[in-house]
Amino acid sequence: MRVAIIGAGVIGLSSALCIHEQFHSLVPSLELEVYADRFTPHTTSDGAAGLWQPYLSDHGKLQETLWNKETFDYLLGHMHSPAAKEMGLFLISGYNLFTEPVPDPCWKNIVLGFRNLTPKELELFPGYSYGWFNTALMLEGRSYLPWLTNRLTQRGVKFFHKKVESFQEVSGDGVDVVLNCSGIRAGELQPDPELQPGRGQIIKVLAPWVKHFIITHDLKSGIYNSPYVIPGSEFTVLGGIYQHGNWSEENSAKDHKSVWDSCCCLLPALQKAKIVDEWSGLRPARPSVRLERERIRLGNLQGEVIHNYGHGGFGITIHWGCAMAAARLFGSILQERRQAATAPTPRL
Amino acid sequence: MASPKVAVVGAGLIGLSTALSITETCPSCSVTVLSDQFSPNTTSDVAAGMLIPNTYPDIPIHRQKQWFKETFTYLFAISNSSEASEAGIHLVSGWQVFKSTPKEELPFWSDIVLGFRAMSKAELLKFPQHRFGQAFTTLKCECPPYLLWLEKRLKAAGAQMYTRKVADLWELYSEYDIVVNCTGMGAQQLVGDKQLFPVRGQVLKVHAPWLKQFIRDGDGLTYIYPGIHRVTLGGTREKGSWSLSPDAGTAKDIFDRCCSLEPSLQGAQDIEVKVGLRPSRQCVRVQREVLSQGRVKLPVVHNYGHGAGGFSVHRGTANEAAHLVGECISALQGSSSRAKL
Repeated sequence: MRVAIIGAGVIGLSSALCIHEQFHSLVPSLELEVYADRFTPHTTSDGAAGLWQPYLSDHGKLQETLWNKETFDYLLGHMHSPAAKEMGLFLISGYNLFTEPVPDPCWKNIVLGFRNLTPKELELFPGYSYGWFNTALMLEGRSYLPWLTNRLTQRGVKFFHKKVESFQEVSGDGVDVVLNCSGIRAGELQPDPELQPGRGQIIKVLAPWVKHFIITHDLKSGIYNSPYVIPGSEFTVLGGIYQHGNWSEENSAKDHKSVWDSCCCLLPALQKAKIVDEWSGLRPARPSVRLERERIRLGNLQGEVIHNYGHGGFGITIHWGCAMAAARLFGSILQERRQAATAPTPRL
Repeated sequence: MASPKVAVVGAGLIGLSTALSITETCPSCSVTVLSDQFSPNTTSDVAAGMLIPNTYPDIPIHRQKQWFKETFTYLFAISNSSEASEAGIHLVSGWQVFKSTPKEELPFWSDIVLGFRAMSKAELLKFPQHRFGQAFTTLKCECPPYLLWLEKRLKAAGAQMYTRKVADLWELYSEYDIVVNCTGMGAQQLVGDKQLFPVRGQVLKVHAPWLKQFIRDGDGLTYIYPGIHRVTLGGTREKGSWSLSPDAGTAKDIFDRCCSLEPSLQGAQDIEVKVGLRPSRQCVRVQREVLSQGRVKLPVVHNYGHGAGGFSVHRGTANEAAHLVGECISALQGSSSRAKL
């Protein structure tokens, strides 16, 4: 049985791994193939800082909060494994800052040590009068994606470097399940007006004295349109751009200035930090994650597509929960096929 | 006395910070730092520089608390400024974990560090051998950067610095009006202080840049302190040992103890071993003394014996020593005006 996965970002690779881990012993003929035109380090996931943190509110989408929790718990469980460093996984504490009191986030009990900021701590951040402190996780795409790729390669999963133009293209010849993890470009495979880019631009600097993440929030401008500083294992990411509907992957001088000035205002010592890189990426934003099955005509046969895209600015945060859900959908496809295969043939 | 000439002997953390404090409180003083060692070869350079106070048995808690508070406030302001990276001062959060619940769950400094609270059950799961813990955010002074920054500030304030071994404080009588003794462990020989004793500390400095949080065992012996470029792994407290040679068996023991607190350290690279002798004393000696030889007098201010707690209280004791220098100057001016009558 051949399964094609479109997309080699964090969603594609983790979904592939999850499915292979769960089903390869049940389905001896299971063969997975990953198709993508971009592989690490050129995917959207590689550009992300890698901080585990959902948006401030799930707007009632409890399922997404559960997937976030599943991911956090899964990663926390890996913290003491020898693989943690190779995965790019480590603990990090930091600050979320606001100009007014806000309700606690839906993830307050998922992270470690969540609490409000003390007045003394707020002195560090003039202009902000309220905030949170908590310990969360970093999962750096530039380490995690190669790690996932290695695990998949060890398991015999094949990789194909090509731009897929349609589901039909990767199916046929025994491929009748396609995992659509195409992120921001899912609309090219099947129109989805709900999927829109949430363009971000980040500056990577050398600032090894920064040991905390600092995320500011401007409730009027919306998520990630306010400066943030996220220290990684090698570089510190400065950001604060979220432009809905902007498809440009070119760096903008105006956005550079906005990020630089606002982050230096937040942390004056950053003025001395050396800039090593700059990057723009498109968060695959959607009102909710599309994680569902769809029956599709693939050539002469009825096939199945499992959609798993639209994770906005929280792909890393939610990835494992979604991978497990995608694996469950795959499992239900298998179950239906087996039942269909063993169903008694109608007597004529 | 128009421009009192002050010699500060010792160029570690205490010498440099005391000299700087003197230039601030007594701008008319001419300050000279004399030392046989400068950064990166001082005891201070070996230490991680974490602001987690040591408790001195013979000093009232309110005085230790005052010293810590002054130091924390001073460094907090630097960490918040554009000079933070040059000065090597940064905030760091983490955990202090205990195998058995300590007698004092709230140390005297808990309201000075940031966000001090008990660790949650979920956080303690990471430390299966430990039953209790404290989470807080504090400051770290990276050396050499901090010492070099102090030297830069001193030069800007007009202070001079010379490499010179001072074998006897009286050597300085003819050139200086007041001598400030910040010689750390050297005070044992220089002023014959038998209450001063070394507590040998061996540490490892490793490359493990994914570590952003400190972890310290409440026994003070095992700790992981992420700095700007290196993580300091410790340590030992060997009372009475004068050996400055790294010990391989000790190094392995430190590494193993730290790995059991933080398994990812197995992947640490570029391990460097360092040794320092903590200049320990039941109480830090911050004190005025007037040495005399016949009718000749030499005012001395002592500021040494900080043991394991130098970084945590350095600015507080520097300020106190500078204040004592001020008193010496007043005394000299008083006696010189009496001499005129």
